[in-house]
Amino acid sequence: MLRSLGKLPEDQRPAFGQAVNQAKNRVQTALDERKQHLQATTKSKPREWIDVTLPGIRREIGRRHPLMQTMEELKTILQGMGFRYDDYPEIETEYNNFDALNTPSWHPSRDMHDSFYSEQGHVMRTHTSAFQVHAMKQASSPPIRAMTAGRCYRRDEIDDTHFPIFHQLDAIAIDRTICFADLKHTLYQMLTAFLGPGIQLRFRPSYFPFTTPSAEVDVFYRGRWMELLGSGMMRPEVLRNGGIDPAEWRGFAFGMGIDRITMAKFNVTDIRLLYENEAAFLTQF
Amino acid sequence: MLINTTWLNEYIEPKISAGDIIDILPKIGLEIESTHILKNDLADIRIGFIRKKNAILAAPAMFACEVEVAKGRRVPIVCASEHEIEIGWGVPVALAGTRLPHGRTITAGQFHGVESQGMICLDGELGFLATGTGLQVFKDEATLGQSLTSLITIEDCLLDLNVLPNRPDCLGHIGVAREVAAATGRTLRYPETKSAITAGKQIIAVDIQAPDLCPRYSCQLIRNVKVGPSPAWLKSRLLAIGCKPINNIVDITNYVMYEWGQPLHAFDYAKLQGDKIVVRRMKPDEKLELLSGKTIDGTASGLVIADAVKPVALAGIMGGRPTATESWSTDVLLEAANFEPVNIRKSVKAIDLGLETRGTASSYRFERGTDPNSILNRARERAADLICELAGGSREGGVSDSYPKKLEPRVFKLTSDGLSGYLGVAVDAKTIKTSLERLEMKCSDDLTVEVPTWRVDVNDPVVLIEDVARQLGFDSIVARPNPGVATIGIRSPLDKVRQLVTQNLVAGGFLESRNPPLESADAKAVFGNKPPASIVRLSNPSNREMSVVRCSLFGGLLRSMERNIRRGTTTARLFEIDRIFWLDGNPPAPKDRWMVAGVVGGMVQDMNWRGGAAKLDFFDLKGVVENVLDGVSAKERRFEPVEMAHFVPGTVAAIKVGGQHIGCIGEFAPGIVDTGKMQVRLFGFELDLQALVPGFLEVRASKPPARMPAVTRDLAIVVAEDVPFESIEQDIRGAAGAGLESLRLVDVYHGSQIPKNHKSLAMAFVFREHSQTLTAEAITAILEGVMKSLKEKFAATLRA
Repeated sequence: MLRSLGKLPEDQRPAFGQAVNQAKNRVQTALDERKQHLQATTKSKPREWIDVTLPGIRREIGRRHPLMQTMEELKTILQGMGFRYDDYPEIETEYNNFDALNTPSWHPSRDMHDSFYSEQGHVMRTHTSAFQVHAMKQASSPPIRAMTAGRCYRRDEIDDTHFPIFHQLDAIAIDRTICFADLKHTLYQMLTAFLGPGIQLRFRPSYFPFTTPSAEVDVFYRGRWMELLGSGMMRPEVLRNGGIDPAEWRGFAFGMGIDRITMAKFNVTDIRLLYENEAAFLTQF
Repeated sequence: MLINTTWLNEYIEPKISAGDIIDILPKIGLEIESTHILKNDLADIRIGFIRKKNAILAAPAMFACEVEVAKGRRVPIVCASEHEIEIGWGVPVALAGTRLPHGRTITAGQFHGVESQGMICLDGELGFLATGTGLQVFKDEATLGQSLTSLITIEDCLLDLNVLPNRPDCLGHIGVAREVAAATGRTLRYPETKSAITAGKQIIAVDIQAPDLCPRYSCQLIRNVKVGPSPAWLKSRLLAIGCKPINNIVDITNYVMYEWGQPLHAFDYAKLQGDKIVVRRMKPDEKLELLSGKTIDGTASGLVIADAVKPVALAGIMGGRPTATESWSTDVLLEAANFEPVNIRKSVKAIDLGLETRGTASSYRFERGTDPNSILNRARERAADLICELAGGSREGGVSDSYPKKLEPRVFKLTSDGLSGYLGVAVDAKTIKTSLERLEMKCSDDLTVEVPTWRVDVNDPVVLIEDVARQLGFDSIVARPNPGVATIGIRSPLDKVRQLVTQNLVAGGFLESRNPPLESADAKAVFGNKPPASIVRLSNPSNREMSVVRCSLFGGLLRSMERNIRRGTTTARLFEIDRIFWLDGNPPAPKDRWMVAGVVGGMVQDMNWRGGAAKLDFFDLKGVVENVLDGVSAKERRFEPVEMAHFVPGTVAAIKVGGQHIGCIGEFAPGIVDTGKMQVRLFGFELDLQALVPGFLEVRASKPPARMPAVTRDLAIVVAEDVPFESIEQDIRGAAGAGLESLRLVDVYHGSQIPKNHKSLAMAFVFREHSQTLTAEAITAILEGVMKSLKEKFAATLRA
């Protein structure tokens, strides 16, 4: 209505404007009154009482297995650090599980791995490190950061802390400037992210046929030192087996058991519980 | 390998405390499996006084003693006459139940019909080196019942070292001492050798017929020895590290092996025929009785040491019994040789030696690699010296030696920059040189390194870098980020699908399970549709229960379900995502495939205060599967009736996605698991997870939400029982056209209000056009068309 003001003769405009504004104000007042009235009536609705302490109606939700929670968390951390995730064979050739990792068939260190073999002569991988040569060959060229995780097998007798099947996570990093100090840095970063700030690690010289220098890494966790992972600088032989020239590139590798740290983290005292899948156990995680 | 710290200290100058040794060993890569600080570990060893001592007729070398171990308490103890004892002597006693540092626990028992409730312990049996006669003797009655450790100071510690396979040079006290001395800046002191290598005629003709298997064989003839017990100091050393003393000659060869790491052997020279040693393969018709008592034949054609006529020792592994040094021997031939490791290892595996352990202390060292040069020489001369000194013999002639192809030391070139870059810490040339020289390497100022041949592990310069790093200490290499090129952290598509499916199932109430992929070979327990010939079987299973690799995830889940039900869990939903395996191709090669499977039983929901609970059935599980498939955008899915073993006939569906068969769902046959009295219906599904990946990777276009109002209509029809809903739904969608946005089945009714063998289906239709509002007339026309079609195809009627 006010828009039509311009069409009126100039002398009539003030009166018209006034009238329109008065009408508008009356409508607004009526609206406000009605709104107030309505709000007042709503407020006066009789009070209800529900017992808010009755249990909520819950739909069952599931849980991730504690081992897989650990594995998933570590994968996520390493993914954030530039490592790509892939799966690799669990039934392996002897070559990939041993020979390619500088562990020929006569090597005494094979005694450290009491392996299962298929009737066709394949080996049930004894460590996720078997992925190293696959990963190097799969990548077009360095720099490479790769990881995998999954089941491994060793002929252990079953007791509280041993099971013939267990889980590991393995990672490699290959670049021109990779060095032992990077390895330490990466492990500190990963384990700080996993176990929390202020962790104490201990690097002990050790031996793996596929790394030199090799270090066992212990963590001070819940009041005691615990063996956590094996690591080291990749052997030149292993890089060559992966088609990478050790004169130009260097790499580090580490492999970590998932079962033991999971047991420590959740205070599981018998490893068999992890493979019995009792609801009363699994629903705690 | 057991190490006695006092013994170790003999080679280190200045001495180092046992505590410091324990501290340093793990830091240089010599892992201590167990530490025995004797002054603590021997707390239970108390002084007992011998009150009676009677000979045992059946065993002339033993005495039945009565020992007062506490005031007025006497126990019978049988004592072997390793050391003289007298009535009235106070001696260290370990009563039954006491654990000695080596791990041996004293038990009560009978010896030749005589009761014994403890042991009188020699110094060595307690783990420490003899200082006197080898037995601690107390004459003062006041010491009765007192702890040995309160009476004498024992500084020795026993350390059980886990020497890793790359470092056979540390399989002797001197090798370990070299590492400790290097890491602590001390001097390594070799035991004094009294004679230089004797020049002289080679009396024995050494003929190595297999130089590839025996690079070097040397021997020394020593005449006029007097075989007898070893002196206390020597016995105690062997006892302390768990090696049984036999006689002075054998003990010396063992002692020098534990000192230098070089195995030695001593033949009774009189038993050898012809002054000749031949190193050759055993002939098929030959026999050799070993020291263990086992007689081997030549079928495995093991490498043997032979005299002019017959084999006399299994090379590097065990001597022969007929030529062993006995108490009456007078001349011995001392052997120090080098054998090729792989052959030793193969022989130990192939030949039954009649031992409880695999191999011997000798083969353990040879199969890891020994030094054919200086250590072989030093060990031989050291043993010859000791034989002359302790058994009164004298060398005759010089060393008879065959060493056709001398092993030269390896030479590597290091640079300070290269080493610093590899470790990530600056190390100057001088430090590198000093570190390596401490390990007895020859290192020039330009870092050309000549490595002693006992370091069989140094086959690449990186090992020298490790040697330097070990001496610097790994702690001194400070962690620092890599300045290199960034890489992309990404997960494989399969991993993404796995995560999505896992989240979906967890949200649906499922507990993630981990079941052993190794299962029973029992055919009844094998699930999956793979033919028996394609099942992966282990050639060396630990037991039959874990001898085949699974080709379905059902078996493990059902066993877990059984366990749950037996332990009183009434409702469980379990799932697992893992691989299945089978053989394929020619020659058969293992194949794997990632699967997801779930097994459920029990109630849909726990009983709560608002309502009762329904039992889980096929359709609850089907809904889960549909959600999983939706979650990874699997299109064109179908459930087709199918028959499968292990399931209730008529309750199984094959699951197809995009026409491809990717899994199954159904109700398990009753009794598939043994749940005892609890009867729970079990349902399961298994899907090929990898088959879902391609569909998941397709880019999916979204649509904006519709703005036109929707119109809802309900319709109930009656059709024959056996008409599948899928056909009805397809027909309705075909007849209704694009305007039908959704069709939801809201009720299925069987009962008295409709004809027998019929069902009533109540459906809610939602119609919507995207461009215009549908009129009531249009919708009515559509529904009429739908009914007409249903009537024609399925004889459906509208439910009144």
